Amino acid sequence: MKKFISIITIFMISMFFSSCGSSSNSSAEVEEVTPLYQAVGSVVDGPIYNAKVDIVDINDSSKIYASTTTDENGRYSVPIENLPLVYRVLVYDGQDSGVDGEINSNDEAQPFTMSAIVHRDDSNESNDSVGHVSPATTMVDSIVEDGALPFEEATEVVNDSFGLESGTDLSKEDPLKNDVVNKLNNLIALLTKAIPSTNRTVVFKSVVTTVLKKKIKIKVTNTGIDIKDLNLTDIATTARGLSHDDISLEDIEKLGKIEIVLKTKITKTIKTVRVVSTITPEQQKEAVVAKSALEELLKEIQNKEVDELNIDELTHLVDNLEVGIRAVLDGTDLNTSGPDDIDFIGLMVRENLAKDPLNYKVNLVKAMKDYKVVTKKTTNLKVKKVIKLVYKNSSLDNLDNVLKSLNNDNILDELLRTLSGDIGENNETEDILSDMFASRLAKNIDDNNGSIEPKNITENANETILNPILVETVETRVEMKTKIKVKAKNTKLTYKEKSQVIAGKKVISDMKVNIKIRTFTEVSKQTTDDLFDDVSNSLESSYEDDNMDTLLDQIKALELLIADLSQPFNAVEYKEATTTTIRIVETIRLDTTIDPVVTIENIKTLIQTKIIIQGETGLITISEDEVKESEEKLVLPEPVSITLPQPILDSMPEEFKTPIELNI
Amino acid sequence: MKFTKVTTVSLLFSSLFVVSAVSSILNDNLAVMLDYRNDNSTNDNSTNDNSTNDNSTMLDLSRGRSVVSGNINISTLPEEVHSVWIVDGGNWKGYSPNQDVRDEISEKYTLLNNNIPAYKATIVFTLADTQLGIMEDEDPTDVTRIYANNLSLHGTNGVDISTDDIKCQDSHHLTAAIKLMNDELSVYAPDRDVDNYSNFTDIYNTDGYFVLCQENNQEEEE
Repeated sequence: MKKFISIITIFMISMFFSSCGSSSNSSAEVEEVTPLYQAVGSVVDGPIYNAKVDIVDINDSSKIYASTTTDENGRYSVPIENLPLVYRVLVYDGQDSGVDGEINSNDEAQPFTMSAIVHRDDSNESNDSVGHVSPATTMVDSIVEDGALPFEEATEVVNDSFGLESGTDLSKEDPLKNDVVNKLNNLIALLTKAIPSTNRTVVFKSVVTTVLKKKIKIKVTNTGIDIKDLNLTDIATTARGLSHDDISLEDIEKLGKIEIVLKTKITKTIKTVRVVSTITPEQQKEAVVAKSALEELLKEIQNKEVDELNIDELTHLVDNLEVGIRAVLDGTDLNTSGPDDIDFIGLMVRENLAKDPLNYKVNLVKAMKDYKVVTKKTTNLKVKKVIKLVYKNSSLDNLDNVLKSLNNDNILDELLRTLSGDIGENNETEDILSDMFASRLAKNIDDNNGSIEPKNITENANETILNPILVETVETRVEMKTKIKVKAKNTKLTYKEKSQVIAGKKVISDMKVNIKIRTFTEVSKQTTDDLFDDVSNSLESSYEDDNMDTLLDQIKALELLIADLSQPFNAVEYKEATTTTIRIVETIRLDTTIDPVVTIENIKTLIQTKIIIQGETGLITISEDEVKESEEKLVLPEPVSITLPQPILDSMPEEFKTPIELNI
Repeated sequence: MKFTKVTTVSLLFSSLFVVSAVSSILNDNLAVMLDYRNDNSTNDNSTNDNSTNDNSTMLDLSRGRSVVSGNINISTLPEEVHSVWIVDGGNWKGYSPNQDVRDEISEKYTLLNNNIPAYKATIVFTLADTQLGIMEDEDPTDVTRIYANNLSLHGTNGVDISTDDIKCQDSHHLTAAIKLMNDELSVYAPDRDVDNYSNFTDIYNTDGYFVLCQENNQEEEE
């Protein structure tokens, strides 16, 4: 190849000299030829297709030399005359084809403008000037654009922060081919998602600021990343400094509490990310599973209060999500599985946390397929949402009944009619009421073996979304929570406010169980209010006692105590039951031979069965025997003692003559 | 296209491994097994090509035992190294910069007379702080990392890998991968909480590592 190029070069040089000779008298006729460059490159977070690409002046972005769009692989190529030595590539919009690199329903809109400062290539023979654009190049450009550092120093700061070789010009490293750069870009993108902000540009800026302060020291290699020294709380605090309205103090506190889980899952996700050119279908699935489970984890963290967050529970949830998502990807087509499917799986897995998803994955795949069959028949989002919630609230063993009842035009028409009005005053009220409606409907479908009629839809709606007492009670709780959350944006919450938010969630959870079998009346409303006051006062006392273990046990115990809202609230009985249940939870937490997450879930199921299936009334408690039966024994691996083999010589120091042992 | 690539790689490995033998030595009831390589692994051709290139890495070592991997030119070992060892054909083969130690090795084990290739793990006994020169492969080849039962010792063959790349044979599971540097252990044990040792997931190209695969019990299989 090199020889061939040399021959061409010699040929061209000889042609040049011969043409000089033959045109010695015609210099006036020689026109100065403007070299035509081809600006080329990849635009990658995942590969970004259909993005607008502008090649602009480095000092004046309004001076556009050429524009084009990226192709389906995220590549652009555009001819330019007079391409300056240094230019900027700006990329707007476009769709991110994600960690699988395929154009499919997983794709999401690229959330922020990306850019790169590019030095024109003059050394190659093709006149191609390569300028790849990615979150990493955007980071370098952002530092330069803000005037913090010149290009070379900005590049070094970024390289140093992410463990890249000194002198690496990221605009020349193709993320579609270079695994390390690809992993780095995915990491930056994931960091912007891990910080709970609605504005990813702000979070991106905060990552840039943290890099500039040299507070990020990450090692990215082709086998994975080492982010143990990364401080997500720092980045979130910086982001809060840039945008006060967006990230609350509570969000930052949450990050501090679960940072270890989050970093473990980010590390795992990045490890699965591979360049599109070499990724196998199996690896595509691995990457989609890891990233989707991580996104569901972020959603879960967002929905929980700081004091509700439990690392064991979150880890258990993500493990189950990974199995669930994997099962659905194996059972369906990766290219047709989008965010709605992941959301569906997330709901199903959360609802069945006590069960091993390996055992119900066949049902899960079937539920997913059935859900798609039914929702294909309607375009109404509220109807689709309720259908999804009916699946969530149904027993995994009775999913055929759900398909039988909902795959019916009359039923769907009635659902559409029933849901045509406003449900509550805001989205959160609508979500809660829709869930209650779907939960009651799911029980109705189950009771009737799937043979329901349109009038059943109306009846269930009248008991839930159209029941003014229930709607008002839910709205009161949501309104209170919203007020406190707004305050939490800028102020640390008082114990009373923290207690009120958790108590509000607790009563809504009890309302949902009650509404399956009972009508919500004025008495129910009064009991709900009394229960709320009692729980919030009791939680506030625990906060004041500053015993966080007791507080955590108390919050967990509340999940196991479901009040009968059809009867007046009995504070003495409730207090006694609370004390007993906290003790049960504490015993479970301290017992290292049982799985606390599954055991608590088993007890919860047992209590709900007593209320919903067996129709028991009053405040339901459980016996010692029932607790024992609910205990999920942990299968711990046998301890292993390993002696590392080695040779031994007399001349070795004594300490080397004893083989190294380890016990795990 | 991908299929062609996979086929080519498979054929390559088949030819490499077809004459392989799993060798082992027993030590405290644990077998140290070699990679699936033939026993001619330390022949003259194994490292000479690389011994003249400039791509060398200096590995910092302190007093203690370390498991490393890389192309090691045994004639340039620093004097702070007591001895270096590999398992070959189920036997310990060692070398030392010190003639007396070499004599002792010859007497009790087998004296290495060739350089050490990157796919072998090397146990280095170091007496004091020093640097060990490791020659990098110009074009390192990744290998299929499926290991047999029990404890085995491996080099990286010059590439960075991850613990995810370690797979045990069917009906076996990975209990632990272990790295050793200056008598300090680090452990990857996917099913266990290992609090008393540092943990790792990356295996860098100069690391050597032990792998313990164990048979799944009946319950797990069911």
